Amino acid sequence: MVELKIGQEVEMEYGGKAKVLKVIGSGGQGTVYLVEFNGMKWALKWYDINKIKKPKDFRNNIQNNINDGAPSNKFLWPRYLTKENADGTFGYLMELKPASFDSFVDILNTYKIVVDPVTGRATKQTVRFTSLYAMVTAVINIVNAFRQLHRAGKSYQDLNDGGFFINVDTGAVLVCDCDNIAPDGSNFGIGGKPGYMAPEIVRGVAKPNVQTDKYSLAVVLFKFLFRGDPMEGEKVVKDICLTESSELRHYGQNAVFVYDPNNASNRPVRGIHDNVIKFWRLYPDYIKEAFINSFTTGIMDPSKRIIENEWQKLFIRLRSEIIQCGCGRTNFTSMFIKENDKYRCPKCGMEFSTLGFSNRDYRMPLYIGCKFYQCEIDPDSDDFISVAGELVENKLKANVIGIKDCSEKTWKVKMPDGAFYDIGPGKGFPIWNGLEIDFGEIKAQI
Amino acid sequence: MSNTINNDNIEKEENSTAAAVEDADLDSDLLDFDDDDPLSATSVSKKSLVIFFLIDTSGSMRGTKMGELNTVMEELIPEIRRVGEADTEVKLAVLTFSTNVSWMYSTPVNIEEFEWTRLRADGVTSMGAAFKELALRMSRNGFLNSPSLSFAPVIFLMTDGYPSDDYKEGLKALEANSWYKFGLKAALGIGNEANDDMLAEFTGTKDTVVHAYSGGQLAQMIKIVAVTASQIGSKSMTLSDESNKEIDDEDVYAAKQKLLGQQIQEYVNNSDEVETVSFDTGW
Repeated sequence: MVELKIGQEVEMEYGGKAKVLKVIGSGGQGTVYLVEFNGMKWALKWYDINKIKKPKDFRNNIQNNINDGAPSNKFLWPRYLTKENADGTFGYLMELKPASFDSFVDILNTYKIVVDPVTGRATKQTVRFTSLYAMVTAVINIVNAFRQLHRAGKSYQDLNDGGFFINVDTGAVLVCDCDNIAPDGSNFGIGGKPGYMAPEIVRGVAKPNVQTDKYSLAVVLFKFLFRGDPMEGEKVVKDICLTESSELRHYGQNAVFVYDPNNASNRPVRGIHDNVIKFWRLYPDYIKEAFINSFTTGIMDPSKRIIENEWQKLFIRLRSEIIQCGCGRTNFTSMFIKENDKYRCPKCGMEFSTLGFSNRDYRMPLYIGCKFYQCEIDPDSDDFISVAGELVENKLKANVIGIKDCSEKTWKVKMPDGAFYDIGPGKGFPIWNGLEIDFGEIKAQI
Repeated sequence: MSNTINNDNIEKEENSTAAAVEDADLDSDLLDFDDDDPLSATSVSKKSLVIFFLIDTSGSMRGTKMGELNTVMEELIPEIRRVGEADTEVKLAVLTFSTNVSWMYSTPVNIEEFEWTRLRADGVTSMGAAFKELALRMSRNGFLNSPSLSFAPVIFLMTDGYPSDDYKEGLKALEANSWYKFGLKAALGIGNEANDDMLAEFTGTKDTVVHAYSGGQLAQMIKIVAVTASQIGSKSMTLSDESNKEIDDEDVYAAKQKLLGQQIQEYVNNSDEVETVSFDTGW
């Protein structure tokens, strides 16, 4: 193992030296170190050159990616290459992840191990999203990151649960391990991680590309929401031991989705796949159908896989269908009783009015604190982070509930007197039974 | 060649894998408030991997060898604690053999909770008895009783001498065990007495047999083998073939064992020469 030593200095391509401080982690292709370069701390990925098939091409590709720059600020993108050692070994620097981000692996495990720097004692610390809003926002962010990458004409190639850092309070996402990203159609040897690889890669008939990324993305999203493996059910568990040939069968030749409506041979097993069984019943049909499509018709026909833009729309809808009930229950509208245009909490009986938008066939439940976003009132906007409107209580008149214009535009709003008034940024208006809002191209009404 | 493990060591439990098919009974779903929080997930379901260490604790291991081995294992375990990531639950089982064979803990222990108990060396080398004991425990009723899916185990043998009992008989018992057959096998010979040919009988291939002649090498080899073996199957892999031809069972047969052999050989050939006093000098 050609490992770097603590305190060792690594020469950078364009001068200067990075000093190795400690090991951060290791992956299939090398080790990541904390280093100091130009007075700043960076992460250095240092390759185990034996594991790289075509080191020269691989290095050139990273150089190209550095030159192109990241598709957006959601990527911990390669920044500087090191010089090559005599044996061809090299690495690259990238920014460190902020401390407020946890790895997706820790989220799936529901805890992280924190080692006390003084005593060396390891303790478990819970990692979970602090709100359902943050959780769904994180999913939207993941999908959006890959949309941006694919729009830049590149594919990630090794999409798996190790590739993300997530802020569990806000849902912000950082995509890491960007070193296998390559122009669509190129591959520098990486195959992917078992369980995440598209069946055609497992079978040996395709190499990673944008279409196989879409399969891996669906696996990541399934793991994220349902906390289990989409292809591991009764049929797979029956094998007891996952040998190479059973892996080839269950993830390649004969991969069967656990909730394939036309093939019940691989359903989740109680006692093993409890998360999947539990969460499958919570989610609305349009989410379940997207996964069914991805993992049934999408298995054999890569062109039928859900595209990122479609996922993004579905998850933006999912976020707008969250209800935080006064009784403390927070869930999707699919878990509330629908009565005409209203939702009722089955636990406490509280009723929720809904707002209908002219460009969607579903209605958004209204409760104090619910929000809609810029992309939901402007068809040209891709901004799902900036809040456009929020349901709030009037600060001066208790018990009067209204919508605050948090956007930068003026809306036309129909008031109880039947007339339309201009509502500018920072202003608000009460909700009432005949409420109509004109956002411009999109309109909404109660 | 059979696709699944189906010899006597593994009993299929029909009842335990009965599928729990969920009927969409909406009303009862809506009313089950105790378990409907989208945020309250338990840890993602994992596949199980047991790493077996078979360690020679006979008298000849006394001194530097045992000291090095204890130290490197103490250091290694925290280092590879997260090796299973979110996909695999990794457990360790340590079988020591000298005049008697004994397990460090009575069942495999999760790597996150595993604490190394320092071993002492004494007695003769009952390797055959160790093989028999391993064959006995590597079963669904024994140490491989995870209800979920398992990976074939990793079995890592470390010894510094020649067996003092009939190892061939023990090996025969192992060879009848499917977990052994599909398992990833590696061996480390320590010092001049250890016989690599004999170790290759255990691993089935020379590629996963390594040798250490000094304390520094011992630490390095244990690390190389343990880390590499525990990562195979769970880390991203490079494409094995350029031909773009449909892979069949033949192609993947013992693929992980071959890959382990390749990777170990690459590391061994690239490892720096560690200048320390050989095990056989300075006594």
